[in-house]
Amino acid sequence: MSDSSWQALQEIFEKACELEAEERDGFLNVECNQDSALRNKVESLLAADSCERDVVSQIVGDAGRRAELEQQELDLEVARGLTGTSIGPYQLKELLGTGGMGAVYSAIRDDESYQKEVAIKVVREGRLSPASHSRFLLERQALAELDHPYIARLLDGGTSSQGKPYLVMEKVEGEPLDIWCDNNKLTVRQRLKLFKKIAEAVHDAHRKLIVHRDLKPANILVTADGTPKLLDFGVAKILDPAQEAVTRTERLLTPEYASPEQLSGSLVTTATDVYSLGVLLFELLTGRRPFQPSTTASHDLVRMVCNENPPAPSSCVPEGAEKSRGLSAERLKRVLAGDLDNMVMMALRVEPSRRYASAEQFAADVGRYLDGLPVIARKVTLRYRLAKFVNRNKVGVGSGVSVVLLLLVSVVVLNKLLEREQEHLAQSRLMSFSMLDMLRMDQNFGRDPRKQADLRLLLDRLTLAVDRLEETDPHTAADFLKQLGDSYSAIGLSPMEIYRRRLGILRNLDGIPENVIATALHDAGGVQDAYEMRLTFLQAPHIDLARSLTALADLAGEEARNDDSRELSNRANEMLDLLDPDNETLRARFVLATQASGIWHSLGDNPGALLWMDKALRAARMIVPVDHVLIGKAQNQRGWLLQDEQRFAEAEAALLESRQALDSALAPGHPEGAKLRHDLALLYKDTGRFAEAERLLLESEAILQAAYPDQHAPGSTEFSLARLRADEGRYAEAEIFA
Amino acid sequence: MADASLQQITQLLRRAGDGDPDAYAELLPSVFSELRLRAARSLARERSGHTLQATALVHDAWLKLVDQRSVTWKDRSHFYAMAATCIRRLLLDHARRRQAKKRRGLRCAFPAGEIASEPTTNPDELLDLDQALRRLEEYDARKARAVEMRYFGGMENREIAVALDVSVGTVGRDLRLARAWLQSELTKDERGESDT
Repeated sequence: MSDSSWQALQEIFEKACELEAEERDGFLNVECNQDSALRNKVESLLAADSCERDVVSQIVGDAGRRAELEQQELDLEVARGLTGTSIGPYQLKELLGTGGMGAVYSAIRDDESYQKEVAIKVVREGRLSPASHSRFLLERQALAELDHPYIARLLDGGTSSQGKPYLVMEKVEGEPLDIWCDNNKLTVRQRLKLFKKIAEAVHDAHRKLIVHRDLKPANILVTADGTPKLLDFGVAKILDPAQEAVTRTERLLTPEYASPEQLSGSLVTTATDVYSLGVLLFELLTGRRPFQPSTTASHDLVRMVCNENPPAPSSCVPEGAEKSRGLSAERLKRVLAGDLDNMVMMALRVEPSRRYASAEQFAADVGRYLDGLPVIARKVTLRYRLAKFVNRNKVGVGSGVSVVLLLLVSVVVLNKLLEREQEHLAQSRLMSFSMLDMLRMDQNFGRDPRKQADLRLLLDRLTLAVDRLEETDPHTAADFLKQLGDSYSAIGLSPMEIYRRRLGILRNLDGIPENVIATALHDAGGVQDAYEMRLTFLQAPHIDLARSLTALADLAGEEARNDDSRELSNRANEMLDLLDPDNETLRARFVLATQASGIWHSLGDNPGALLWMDKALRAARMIVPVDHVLIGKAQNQRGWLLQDEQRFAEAEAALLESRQALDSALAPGHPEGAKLRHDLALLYKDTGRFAEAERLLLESEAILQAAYPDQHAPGSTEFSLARLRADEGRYAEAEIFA
Repeated sequence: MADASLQQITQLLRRAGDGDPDAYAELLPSVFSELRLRAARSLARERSGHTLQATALVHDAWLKLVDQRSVTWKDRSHFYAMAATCIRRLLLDHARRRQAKKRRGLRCAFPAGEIASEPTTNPDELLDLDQALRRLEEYDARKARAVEMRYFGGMENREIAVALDVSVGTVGRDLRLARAWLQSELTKDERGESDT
């Protein structure tokens, strides 16, 4: 096929995809214009496109599974080859299984009286890497310290004559937990009792600072008399109490039972086992695991586990699960709904700190449930879910955040409205429409600043909706206006008009607390009046008074009352120093310090501006993570202040951190990244690093071109490039003449 | 792995991300050998689909090979893209080895793991897919790369977009056409065989 016919094929296919099936025929008649070969090709593509079955995905998926099997066969061959041989004083009798690190055999001692059968785990590789070797030794030490009736004992361990490390363990005759429960048709209560024992055993290990890390049914055997035995602390590691109570490891585990922090390579703690216990209980209750990615499609367990809340156990009882639990499917669902759902989901929360605090607490909650007492697990609240949503949808600053914010607002308002009367249904509907719009727009937000215009339209539309609301429900209208104003300001538009309207509404209502009025007044630009009002009912030091002083300092700065401006900034700062450094105070300090840095700079006091910026950065570091946009912006400003001070090395460090933060916090192609690169380029130019400077300027230019394809006149960047080249020329000349 | 080579790999990745073909060529062997080492262990575990295993595998390699303190999500997309190529090669190696020893009839007697679902395709189809993918590469290299990243690397469209430096919309269109084309090529072969 020639390039041009491939091109034609592609174009016609893409257009045809847009059409309804019945329109395609006519379209193809025109487009293919008697070229029957082309037409056949397009038609076969369209047929393949509409086919549900994804052959490519199936082929790759099957190939992957075959490769897995093949590797298993190879491993087994090797492992089986060792049966009958001796390792240390033990003779390997039968291969019991293969796992992450190696194979497990049943064995007996060759030499003396101890004739009892034991289980021996032999590490696969003959030669261990230092990391694996120390892990193996740790495992030995960890297990030796564990003595619990529900945990398989470590009896011995050593290194074979070929240098293979091995562990000798109590041999447990039993069935894996899930199979045992189903075979014995355990009821939900019986399963819970068994689970409670397991959770208590896990807690006992935690008290000795041992985290299992790989809890799953295959690692928990149940003996004939119903005693659970936890096996294979294969990846357990002693948490060193002298260091932090947590540790990071290379992963060696089973993804289906792994916690989000394990899958994302974050810190592993006892909370990790709490999570795995949650998966275990989920499976014991329902017969399936919380996340079941389809095997061949794009679904990805890692992402699901790390980003999504699991479904409630009661919502996913698979067919047949009820039979082995002695209940009808309906009845099983009803038993699970409520407390059991909440308990499992509490253990499965993405953030370790929001799960049960310990395996013991989990076990105790199961105990309370069994005793008919209230449990501590609660349903996840709407507020929490929305907060999660915000975190997940980290898009550009300004624009993106405000979309999410708006969504929050709409949902909150919607709920409020629905709680009240039916007559508000029209508004509710309008809100939900807007919500959908916004979600759709959110997709590409940070990438395309032009979308801000669309967002503005939406905000305007919502503002109109408030008109009607204002008559029927002024309280809600006032709440809504506050959020709208914040959103306008987040995309860089003046919220003043909105805030003034809100103030008007509040003033006409009875019973609004004066601090609310004062804040509304402050927001609406009545900074001085709000300050005076606040002085009547607030005692200094107070965060609102500090905010007032900050705003007054800004106002004074704008009116060129420079001494006032500096004095007010200092007073605000002193007041903030007297307050507890909580989040709000730190945020207020960040705002003040950034603003003051600008004021000092505009008055020509560069070192003073820099001191303020250092303060702002310190505040930011305490309230946001390292890759947050606030850090990026603070370091950007510090960077060029430092550059003005000729402190080039520090300037570079600041700008590089800024780039790191902005690049990870913002959507790709965000103009803020262009600005930063431009600043960095100027620094490199000033220090004679022309090649790097040029590369950054070109990057910056490319970002701006992509962001504003229609409007971006090659202006400042181009100009900087020209200057750069001129400078470079002089520099080179200077060298020649030197 | 020593810290020096960690640094080195991270830098190579950066350069590869900036479009330096030499850095790419230098990086590929390290990624490949690391993945092969890990594939030997991880692919052999537990019942689950390839995409899942591949993603977990790549993620492991990513954590191990690359200095996490100094990389961005952009580096990550480039790394994953490279890993997709490696996984394609690994699977092809497996398929070819399998063809070679077809008659030896190795059986797995010990139930160390189950297969989630019975394969519905036959082993040679991976080789056919590879051939078709190579043809696609001649017409349209970018689409072939997108397919590789999607199906062998388990990457999401937005990650592919970053790696290929195109919009997410373009990736979506590329994949739709590529998938339809590959599917029609592969089923054409099936039809052709059954005719004769």
